[in-house]
Amino acid sequence: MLVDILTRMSVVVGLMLLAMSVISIGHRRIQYTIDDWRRRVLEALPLAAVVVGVLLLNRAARPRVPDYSWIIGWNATSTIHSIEGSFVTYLHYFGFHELTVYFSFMYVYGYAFLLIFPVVAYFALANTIHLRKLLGAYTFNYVIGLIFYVLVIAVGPRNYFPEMIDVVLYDFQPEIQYVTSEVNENINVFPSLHTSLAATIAIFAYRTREEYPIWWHVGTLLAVSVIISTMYLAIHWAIDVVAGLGLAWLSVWLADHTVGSDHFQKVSVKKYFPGDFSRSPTSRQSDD
Amino acid sequence: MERASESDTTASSRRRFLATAAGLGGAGVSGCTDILQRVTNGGEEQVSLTILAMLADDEDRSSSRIGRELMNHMEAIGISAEVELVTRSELLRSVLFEHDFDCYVGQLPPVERADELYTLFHSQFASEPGWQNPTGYANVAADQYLDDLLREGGNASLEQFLDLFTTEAPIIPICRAEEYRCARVDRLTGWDRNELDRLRGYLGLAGDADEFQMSITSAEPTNNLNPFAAVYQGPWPFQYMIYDSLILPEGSNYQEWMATAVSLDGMTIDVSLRSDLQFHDGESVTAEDVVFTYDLISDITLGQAGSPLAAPVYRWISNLVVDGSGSGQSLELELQQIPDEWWRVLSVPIVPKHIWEDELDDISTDGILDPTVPWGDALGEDIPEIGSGPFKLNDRSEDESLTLNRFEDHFSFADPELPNPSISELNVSVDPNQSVLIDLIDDGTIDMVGEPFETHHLSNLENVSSDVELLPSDRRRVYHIGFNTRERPFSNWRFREAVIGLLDYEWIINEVFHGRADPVATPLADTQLPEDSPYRWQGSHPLVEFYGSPGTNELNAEIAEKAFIDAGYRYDENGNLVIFE
Repeated sequence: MLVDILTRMSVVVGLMLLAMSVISIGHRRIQYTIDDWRRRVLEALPLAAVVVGVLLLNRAARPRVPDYSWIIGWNATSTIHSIEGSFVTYLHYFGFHELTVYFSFMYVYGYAFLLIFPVVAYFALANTIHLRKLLGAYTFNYVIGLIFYVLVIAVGPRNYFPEMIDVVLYDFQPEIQYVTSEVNENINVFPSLHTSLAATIAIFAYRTREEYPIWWHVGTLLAVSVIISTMYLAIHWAIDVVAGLGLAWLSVWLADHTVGSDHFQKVSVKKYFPGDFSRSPTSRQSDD
Repeated sequence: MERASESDTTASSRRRFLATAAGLGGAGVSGCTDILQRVTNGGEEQVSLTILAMLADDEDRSSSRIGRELMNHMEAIGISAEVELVTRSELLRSVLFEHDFDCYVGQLPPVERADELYTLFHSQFASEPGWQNPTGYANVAADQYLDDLLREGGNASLEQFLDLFTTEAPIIPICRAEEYRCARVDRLTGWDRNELDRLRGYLGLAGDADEFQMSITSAEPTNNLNPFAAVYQGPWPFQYMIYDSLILPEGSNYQEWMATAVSLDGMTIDVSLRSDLQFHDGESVTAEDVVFTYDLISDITLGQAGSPLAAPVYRWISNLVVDGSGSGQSLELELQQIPDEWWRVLSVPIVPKHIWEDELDDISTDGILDPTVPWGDALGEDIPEIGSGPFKLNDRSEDESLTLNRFEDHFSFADPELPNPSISELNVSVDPNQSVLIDLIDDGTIDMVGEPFETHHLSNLENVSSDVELLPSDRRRVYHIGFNTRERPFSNWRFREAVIGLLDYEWIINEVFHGRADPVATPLADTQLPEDSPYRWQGSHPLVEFYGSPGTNELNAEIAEKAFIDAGYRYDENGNLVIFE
């Protein structure tokens, strides 16, 4: 079951990536990337390794985290509900079948595409600073998110008042839960990692709006759709979304001040290009 | 230059110290004011409580919904209430083991006979773990009626107990929801719909399936098949498939199983065992294993602790059995009382002494008793899941799956009189939700759904193909609100009785259970009560009516408040229900 769904997802997301790459990245950049990829891989490698490490750690820890959570965590759902009430259910008054299809698609496929495309796109830039900051921001999102997951137990609105929500993702396309249950626990809705990562990517899309103007528009639209989908599908509270936005801002700030800091640049880049540091990498290419 | 910065540091740290002191002092002052305020207000505080309910998604929608409605009604009449959603095993841990809760919405295990109320409500069990009086109810008269009920059976003591029970309401029974499993009949037929949570339902079917695919949505059975952990008395049959018992219940009768003959002689049950009994590791099963198991359920510490700690399950049995002895193929169980259907005492799953006896010393009882601890953590590899049942555990992957294989050396194959397993390999997988399962069984990807569907799926279930047989069980579990009678205000029966009126039974049955449940006023099914009993459901609760228009779930706050005032409670000037703290 899981394999079938993952296969289908890979195909769909793969096609989306291909299409967007062709539209957005452009011939010349792809050409330079083919020539220059080794350098860029080396520059991004340490951070990519960190991201992969964090994801693997998360995967290994995931079965045990809920146990610790139940023991030491704060069960926040009733507090969230008493502050927010049933705001999320109001989205359903405007709901209809096609909208549910759109948001369901966004929540799974749109999100996967949103996470992967910037990695590809920024790899296609000669200056790997955006790629490295993005990877750094991913890491911070994940690590801080994990800390919250241990410390805070919260379940989403679809758990709290399931009967008020008729057009829920899992009633509509129940097999999707094979995928989401691999990466989520239903007690980890605060903060919304979907929101924080989507917003992070939107921030970077804004920063690279000159290099990638199309992505600036498409990426932001996707990010907004993903963020709304988390509430429309009653998976997250609005409070989780606000917290997710805060987490995004914080992660990007942290990435700027670590990956982006001079100290970090000197340490990491110098190691691989001891002679080159005097010349900034951007001066080598003319189209960035 | 250095001196200046030094004094700067000292100055700033002094400032910090003063700030902290001021903060603490301020807190201290406000604390004092708080106390003063309390004293001058006469020490009244709003009644404040937390309702434990199960997570709606994948676990139990009904529990959380009832919990929320109760919370709303309580808030409407000035009680500060909130609902805490937890997993089923967390709920059972808080309620059955820690006794740390105010009230909860849950399901009782199936109550087959009235005298099983004994362990549910007798005060003797109030401090024990498991489904033994988790509410802590202690009433001298109730104890007496339960003693009579257990000793003599009959309707008189049952009615007397129910008179008291419905008034004092240590739990408020709500309803018995319809419990449907389903199985494909293109592979096996002859399913007994009332035996699918036990071994009997998987024996003697027509047909023979080599690989049989079952799905469930709860990961609990993949984490722990410990026959002595109360939480795993869930609606799954797996531990009974692995661990055999002396007899198999069959309706109101029994089938000799590991025993060739059983008889009651005075206060003693004599049991003769078959001679061809084997554990899955090849060792023979003898009377010593049986005696060991009965000793174990009476005292899970096997004498290591100061006083015996009974296992949280089979307590009804361990309460009755005072001694067991025997060797080889014969044993005797001495009872302190003879209940109706005395043979029910013989339904304990037997575990291998040679594996359990030595290893138990090293294992903390918390690990065994705590329902949230997986087998691996509690009992480790030192006690493998080896029993003598017709199925043996082949593989177990936590949170994911379970595989049971037919145990070819099981005696049921040697004896033509006995039904044997019709499945050679049972693959159980944990799927994320029940909606998927309906499609999966319809198209034949799975052969069976091994747990009851929630009521909101039942109308979809009715549209499945004719290759799928729907199997409604009569062994239904009672949804109820349970109170911790050790805690105020639930220690006051008047408060509990007043809460009954906050429940609109009609609305709950129709809206929460979609009409697929039968309301009850007792922990028993109406059919288990005498025909003329006033406690059979007559359209509304026999003692307290809903404080509003039944069926609408709209609470008339005035009527409700009056009920609590009549119960002896007060309202303060802010409209809060208060008690003295």
